[in-house]
Amino acid sequence: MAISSLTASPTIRSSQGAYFAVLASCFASLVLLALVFDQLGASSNQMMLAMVAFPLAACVLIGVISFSSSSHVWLTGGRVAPPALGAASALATCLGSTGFVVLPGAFFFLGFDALPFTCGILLGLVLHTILIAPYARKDGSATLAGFIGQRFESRTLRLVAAGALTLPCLLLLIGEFKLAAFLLGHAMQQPGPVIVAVLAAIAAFAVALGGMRAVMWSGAAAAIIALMVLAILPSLSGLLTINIPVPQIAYGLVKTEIARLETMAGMDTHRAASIVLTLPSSAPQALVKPFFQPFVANDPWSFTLLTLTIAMGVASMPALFAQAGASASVGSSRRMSVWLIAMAGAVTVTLPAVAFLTRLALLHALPIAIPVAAPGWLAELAKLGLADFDTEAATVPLSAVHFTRDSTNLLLPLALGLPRPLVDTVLASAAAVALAAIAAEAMALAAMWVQDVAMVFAAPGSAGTLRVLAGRLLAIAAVCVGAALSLRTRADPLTLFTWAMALSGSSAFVLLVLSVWWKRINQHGATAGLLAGSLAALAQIVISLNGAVPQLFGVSGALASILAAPLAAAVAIATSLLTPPPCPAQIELLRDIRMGSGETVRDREARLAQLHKLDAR
Amino acid sequence: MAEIIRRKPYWRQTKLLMLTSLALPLALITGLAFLSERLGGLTLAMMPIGFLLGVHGVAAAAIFAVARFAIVQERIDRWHGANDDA
Repeated sequence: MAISSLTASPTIRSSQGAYFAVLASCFASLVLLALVFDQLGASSNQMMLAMVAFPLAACVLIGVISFSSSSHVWLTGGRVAPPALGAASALATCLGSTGFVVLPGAFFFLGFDALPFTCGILLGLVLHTILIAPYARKDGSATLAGFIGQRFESRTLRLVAAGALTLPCLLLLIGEFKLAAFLLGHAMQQPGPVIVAVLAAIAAFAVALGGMRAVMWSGAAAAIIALMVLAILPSLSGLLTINIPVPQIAYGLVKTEIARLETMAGMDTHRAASIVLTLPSSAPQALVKPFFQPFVANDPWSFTLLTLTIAMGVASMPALFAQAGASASVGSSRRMSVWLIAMAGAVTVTLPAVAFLTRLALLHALPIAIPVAAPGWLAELAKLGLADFDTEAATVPLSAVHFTRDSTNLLLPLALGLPRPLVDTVLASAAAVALAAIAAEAMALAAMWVQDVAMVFAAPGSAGTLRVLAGRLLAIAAVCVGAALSLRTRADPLTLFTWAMALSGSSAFVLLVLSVWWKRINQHGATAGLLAGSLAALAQIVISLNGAVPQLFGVSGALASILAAPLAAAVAIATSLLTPPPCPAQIELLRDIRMGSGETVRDREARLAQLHKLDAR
Repeated sequence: MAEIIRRKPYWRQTKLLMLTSLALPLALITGLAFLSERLGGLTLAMMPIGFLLGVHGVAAAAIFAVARFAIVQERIDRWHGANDDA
C-alpha cells in the first residue's frame, strides 16, 4: 500500500474537509485582525475575549449542525469519520488540555524527567492501534464496557465494567474543567466557577444535540486550532531566540549556553532516591532542575513505571475506544491511527522545544538577582496570580521567583515580547482542547450509562428514540457532575490524569488485550480480572492519599496499575483456566471480530433484530 | 470448517505482525531510562543521546511501527480477502 492510500477512503466527504479549511482560515484571519487592531491600540481585554470566544462559538455551531435524532448516529457518529479528521478529534480527546497546557509546564520544570508523559502517550497510542482499535471497529460497540460485556455475553460484566470505567472518565472530566478554569480564569480575571459554567453549558449543548458526531467535529476543530498555535508560536520563538524556525530539531545548538545559565542560577543536580516519583505541582514553584539532567525528580525505575502506567491508560481510554468505532471501516480505523500517531508525534516533539525555549528566554530575560524594576510581563503575571515573587525586596534571586506549571505556555510569548494577540492564541487553543476533551469524556460517560446501565436489558438496536433521549439527558448530567466536582475537588489536574490512567489501565487494558488475543478467556475470568484490577488500583490510590499509611510496596498511587494490571492478568488467566472454556458462540464471535472485513458485529445484530421484528409482524 | 481453515493463516500472520510491530517501540521506550543512564555523557546532533532518543527517537519509532503495521496488515487483509475498503 502506498502512503497516498492513507488518505484514500470512499467515505471522505469533501465538504467536511472544506468546512474545516474554512474554520482554520477564519481563525488565522481573526489572529491577523487582532494583530492589526492591537497596533491601532484596541482594548486587549476585548481581543482576548474574541480569541477565546472563537472556539466556543465553533463548538456551539457544530452542536447545531450535527444534530441527530437517530440512535445509531448519536452513539457512533454514523461511522463515516474520515481518517485524518477522526485522528484530529482523537488527538484532542487523548491529549486534552492536560497535553497542551500541563505538559509544556512539566517539561519546563522537569526537562528530561517529564519524558514518561510523552513516551507513555505515544506507546499507549501504538498499543491502542495494534492491539485494540481495529477489533473495536469490527465489533462496533459504542462503548468499551459494551464491547467487554457483549464479547463475553454477560450483562453483569457489562454493568461491572461500566461502573469501573466511570471513575477514570470522571477524573479526566474534572481535570479538564479545573485546568480550563485555572488558566482562563486567571488570564481573563474571571472567577473559576464562571469559566466552568460557560464551558459546561457549551459542552452539554453540543453533546446533547449531536452526540458522537458533535464530539468528533468539535474535537477536530479544537485540534486544528491547537496544532496551528503549536506550529506558529515555537517557529516565531525559534527565530527570535536561536535564529532557526524549526526549534523542534535545533534547540540542541544552544545546549551549552543553557547549561551555563542554569549553573549560574544554582540549579540542583542531585539524583533522586530509588522509586521516587515527583510530579510537578500546580502551585507556583521555582526552577530548580537543569533541563537535560536525567533522574533528579524520578529514578530510572519510576521513570519506566510511569511510562508504562500512562501507556496502558491511554491504550484503554473509553473515549478513545469509542472514537475508534466511529471510522468507516477497519482499514480506515488503521489509517486514522497512523494519522493520530503522526500528529501526536509532532506534538510530543514540539512540547520539549517550547519548554526549552521558555527556559532560555527566561534565563536571558531575568538576571540572577531581579531588581525591584522587574520586567513588565513578570509584574503582569504576578498580578494575574500566575507568578509569584517578593515585590518589596530590593533584589530577588531567580530561585525565589515562582511560576505556575499550567501557565508556562504564556511565558514564552510574554518573555519574548510578542504582540498580545499571539499570547491570546494560547488561551484560545487551551479553551478549544479543554472543551473538546470535556465533550468527549461526557459523551463516553453518557453512552456508557445509557447503553451499559440504563438499557442493558433492552434488545440491540431497539428503542432508538428512548436511547437518544436518555443519552441527551445523561450527557447533560455527566457534564454537570464533572463541573460540580471540579469546583469542589482540590486535587491537581496532573495527579487526576495519572490516577485516571492508572485506573483505566488496571481495569480495562488487560481485559481488552486478553479478550481479543486469547480465545480461552471466559466471562468468569474476565469478571474476576476486572474486579481484581480495579479494586487493587483503587486501593493503591486511596492508600497513597493517606500520608499516615505507608505506600504499598513503596509504589506511589500514580503508578497503581503497575501492581494492579499484572494482578488482573493473573486472576483473569487463572480463573479462566479453572472454569469451563467459553461456549462455541463466543469463539465464533471472536473469530468474526478478528477478521478485518464485513459489517460491524453490532450493526449486523441490530439489522437482523429489526428484520426479525418485521417478519414477526 | 473451510472458513476456519481459511482464517487460521490470516490470524497467524496477524499475530506475527503484531509482535514485530510492537517490538521496536516497546523495547525503546521500556529501555529508555536505562539506556539514558548508560549513555549519559554522549551527545548526538548536539543533544544528549538519551534525551534525543526519548523525544525524537520514540516519536520516529512509534510512527514507523504504526505505519508499517497499517501497510502490512492491509496487504495481509487483501491477500486473504479480508479487505472491504474500495
